[in-house]
Amino acid sequence: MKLGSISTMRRKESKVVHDLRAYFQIVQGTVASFSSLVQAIAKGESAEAKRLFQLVLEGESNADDAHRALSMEIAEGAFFGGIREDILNLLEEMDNIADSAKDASRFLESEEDLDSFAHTLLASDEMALFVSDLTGAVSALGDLIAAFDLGKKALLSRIPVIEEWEEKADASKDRLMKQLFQSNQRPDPVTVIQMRDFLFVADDIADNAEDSSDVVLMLVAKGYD
Amino acid sequence: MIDLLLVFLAGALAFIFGWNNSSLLIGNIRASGSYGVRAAVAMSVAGLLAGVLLGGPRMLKSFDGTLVPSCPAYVLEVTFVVTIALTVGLTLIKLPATFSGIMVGAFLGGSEAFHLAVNVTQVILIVSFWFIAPVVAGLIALVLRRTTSSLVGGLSIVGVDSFNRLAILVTSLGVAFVLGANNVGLIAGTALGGGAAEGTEVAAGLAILAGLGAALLGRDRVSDTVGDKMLSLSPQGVFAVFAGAAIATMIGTQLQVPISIGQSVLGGMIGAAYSQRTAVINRRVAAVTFGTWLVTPVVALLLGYLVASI
Repeated sequence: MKLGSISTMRRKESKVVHDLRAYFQIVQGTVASFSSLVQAIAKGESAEAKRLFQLVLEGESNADDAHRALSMEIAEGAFFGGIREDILNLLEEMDNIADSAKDASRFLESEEDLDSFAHTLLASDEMALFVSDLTGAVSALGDLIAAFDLGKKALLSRIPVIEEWEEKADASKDRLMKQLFQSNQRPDPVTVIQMRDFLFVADDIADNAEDSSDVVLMLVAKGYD
Repeated sequence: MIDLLLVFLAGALAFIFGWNNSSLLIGNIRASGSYGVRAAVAMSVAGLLAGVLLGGPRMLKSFDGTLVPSCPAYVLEVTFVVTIALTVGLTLIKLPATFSGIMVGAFLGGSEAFHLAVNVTQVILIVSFWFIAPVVAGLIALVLRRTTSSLVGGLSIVGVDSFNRLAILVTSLGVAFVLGANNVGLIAGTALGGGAAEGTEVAAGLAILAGLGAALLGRDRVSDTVGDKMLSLSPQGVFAVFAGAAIATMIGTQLQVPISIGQSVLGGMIGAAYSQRTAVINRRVAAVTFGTWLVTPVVALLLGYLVASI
């Protein structure tokens, strides 16, 4: 072990943090494509919806590749002692965000098969608010990851913000469920089931963002203890 | 003139000592996740060598020359045999052996059997320091833990990891150094009957044997008993504990007091634990460890007396 290798190791650690941020950008991009997909369907833009659906799939696939490469990079190095497992867990939770965006998008894959009730629900203000809450939770996770440079206080102050977004998303989802089940339009039961599942899976985006912040909390507790 | 039997016994004890202390020499460096096996072994051997060569001479006359004015080789051989037997036994049943406590007990037992004039003042100093050292280590660890906690709070995550890496490097070398100076120095001094022309070569050889013992056999669970089972510590906590233990043991070395660093580590762990608002210590494991340390020197004394009387 050469003493000089400490500075080399610091460079490797800095690269891991840099790559983690790049990986998050891919995840966030996937969620942004999902958000645009919902808007495109709401506006009835079929061609744009198909393009955005492909973007979500590509984004999730790229996130998988980045997740795998970064996990290997961390597993093969002897650094981040005490918190390496937490960083690997964080990567896994972040990957779950992209997975949820893809899975939710699959419910909207055949846009032409969605009936008018589904279109109305997707075009509602409540749905726009719900999707905004989901992207807000992911964006807050980005702010949290940015605080890796700032220290314990900044990290701890940003964790509750994600939880707030997740709770907002939950509340929006509950209101949408109410619309779904208490509608006077007597929607097709298949549509009800499809949209219910869509809401649950889409809500996982915020849940996984919150789970990611929980992992960061553990990481702070161990790393800065 | 070197007594070859004594040197052989010293070599065996140094190897076993490395095995018993592998958790401190290698285990904690590895557990930190910041260094690989080769780096951990290299650090421990370098620290042991530096310790025995630079600090070891203070311990050369700890027994033969300080505890008793002069003693026959047979008493030293009995000291080694009893220490080896008890250390191996305790290590095999996964209990942390108080190596220096056993060695002092065995030597005093052997000396008593031969009616040698024991320096009672030095005995009192040694036994007192076994109780003082953990308190000193605990206080140092408490202060260091609080200081480092506030210091690293403002660092980036990469900065914290760099701090941990440097802290582990420094404290691991420090622990290996004091183990080399105090414990391997004591073994060397006992083997050389208080000193010999070839002392440096013998001491260096013993340090390397201790490093080998830690590297080759150091995969037992003694480290769990001393550390993980009793208290879970962060890398900064480990730094505080090791630094406190190393400083307390170094003070003992300066006073020619043989001391097990494990005792200081235990004190350091309790100090580090109570620097936090919430501290959970496995009291049963702590009690067993303390009990072992109180009982083993007495058992070693009785065994030393019996074997020397044969």
